[in-house]
Amino acid sequence: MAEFKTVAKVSEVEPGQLKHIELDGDTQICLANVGGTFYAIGGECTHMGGPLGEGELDGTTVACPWHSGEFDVTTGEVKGPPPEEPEPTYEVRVEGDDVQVAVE
Amino acid sequence: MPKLIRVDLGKLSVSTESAPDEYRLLGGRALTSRIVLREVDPTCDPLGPGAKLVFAPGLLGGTAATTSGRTSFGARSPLMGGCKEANVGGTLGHRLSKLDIKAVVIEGAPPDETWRILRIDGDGARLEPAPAGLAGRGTYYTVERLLDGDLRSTSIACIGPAGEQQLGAASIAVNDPEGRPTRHAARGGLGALMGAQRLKAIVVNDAGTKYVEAADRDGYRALVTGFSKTTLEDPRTKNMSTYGTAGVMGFVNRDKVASLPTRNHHLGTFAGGEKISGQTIEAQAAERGGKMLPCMAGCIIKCAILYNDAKGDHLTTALEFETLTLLGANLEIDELDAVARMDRLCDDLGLDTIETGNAFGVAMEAGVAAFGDWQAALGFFDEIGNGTELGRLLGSGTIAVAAHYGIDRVPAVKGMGLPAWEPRTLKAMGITYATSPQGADHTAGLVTARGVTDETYLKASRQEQVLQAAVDSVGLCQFSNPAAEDMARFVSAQHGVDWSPDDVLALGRRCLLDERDFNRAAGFGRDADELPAFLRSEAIETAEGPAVFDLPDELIDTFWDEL
Repeated sequence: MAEFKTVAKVSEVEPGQLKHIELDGDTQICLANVGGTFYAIGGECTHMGGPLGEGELDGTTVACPWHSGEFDVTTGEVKGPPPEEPEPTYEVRVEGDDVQVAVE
Repeated sequence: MPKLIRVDLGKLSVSTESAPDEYRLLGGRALTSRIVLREVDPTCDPLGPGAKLVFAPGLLGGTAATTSGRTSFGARSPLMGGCKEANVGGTLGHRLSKLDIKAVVIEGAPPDETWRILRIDGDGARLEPAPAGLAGRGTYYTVERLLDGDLRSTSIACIGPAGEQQLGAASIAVNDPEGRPTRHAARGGLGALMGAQRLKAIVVNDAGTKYVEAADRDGYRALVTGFSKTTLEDPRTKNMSTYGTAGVMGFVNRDKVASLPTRNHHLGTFAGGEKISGQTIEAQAAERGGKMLPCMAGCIIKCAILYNDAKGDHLTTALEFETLTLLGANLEIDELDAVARMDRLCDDLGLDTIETGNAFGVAMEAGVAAFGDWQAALGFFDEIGNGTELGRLLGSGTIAVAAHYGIDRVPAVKGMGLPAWEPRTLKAMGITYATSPQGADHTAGLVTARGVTDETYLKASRQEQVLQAAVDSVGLCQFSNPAAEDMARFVSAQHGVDWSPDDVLALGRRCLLDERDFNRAAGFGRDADELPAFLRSEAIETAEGPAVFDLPDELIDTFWDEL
């Protein structure tokens, strides 16, 4: 059963920015602010585990800081190699100043 | 515990042992050269029963460090007779490391005429008869058939018809991430040894394995992030990502630089240079659908040119500056499609483009065909593929062709054809070619400094050769431009040691000394360090006047004194 956890304050992640988040249980999340709307996908690149939240965001595409693999933060789909597998996506909501992500 | 796999083709046996502890902090070139020094009789027939082919991933293989998946192949070179290492990108190196393989040593004379393949996977290693119909086929067919569509877990290293014929210019092909045999351990004729061993291919499958974890996991991850950022921000990377190695053509072809071997090394500039430049290829790609590719998963430089023909169909990948020069300018051929076709044929036949271009240049000098006659040059490949007398001669390398036609002006050092960096105008390259145990191999120490003192040329070549030997040993690509500090941090975090930059340079230095010791035992004396006489006697015209290679032998002889 997924449950919402607060992972950041709204003010921490400006539009166009990313944040790499490590939760308990080895879950890592890449939180993205796209024009004021928050999205969350898996935080480890499916290629070799690069921290996506430390990469660069261009529109809805995040580039991994290790090997430039690209994912769409709104869907988790691979947008550019070397990764072949998509990232999981997580439901996001904003409660007050808290950004919350639904995780198992 | 990392494994050392031994393959005895004489007994048709394979054994696996723990790699000796002394090899723990050796990898890539340093390891293959050490094993060759330790285990190979330096006076053996390079294609005979005493020869051994060794291959090894680098110290950082199987990790996330960008470009860290290179593989070194080493042996007593069938072409030069010395300790040769040829390293290659492609998908092989990471898989070997993920399988915890330190090195593979292949030895012994095969008992019969059967062509075999070596399979390596999580269950071990084993020899099998090559599938029917594989012998005699090119590397494109061989790789496609043995990959069997499994790009995710399988890599192939193989030879083509040139290797099967045991020709001195024969390479070992490794597939790229798109499944094409476009990456080659090209120099030194190591493919000929595989041919002598009647080993058509090596098939490596890493299904079920994971990338190699570092001793200091978090520290290593931080290093990977920083190194990738630095590499991406480096202007040299942007140039490589746009034009590949071919982007340097404009620079070396300037009248002032005049460093583009042209017409069998008679000239330093080529009127048709722009037609075969990276800039022309890049502009043409917009019409034909060409693109830039990484040679291995995880490379962020992406310098491999995918070149399509006029119909938009794939013609070749990894069309390099060296190829465009030796098979283009050096033959006075400026038909870009023809040079790209020759690159494809070299890949498919399993030939070193540098050695082949030099051999063709000498043949043209001898009057076998006219300079500029690209149709004749393409015809040469038919001769090689068909194993005709002329083809076997041309595929045997620069010195063989010169000897056959009585040409005493031979563009080679230690048996290796000269690369595309002209020593008369880039004088440090003359020092590298003369002193490197690898012979005339630009990757052993590429220095483009001009207008400095003789002593500075010497020092620059020495420093670069030491650094490059280390780069080849950790398994990074030279185009990621790693400094000794970068490599020290990576090796320390990966292997749980405390290496300084000096330790990295000591690795490179020791590697060079191993190779020199082998060469000396093989009979290499001072004369082996001589550059071709024409480089000192025939001037190249430059905008700054005529240029010859004029660094004194006495200076070059001090190369090893302060190593």
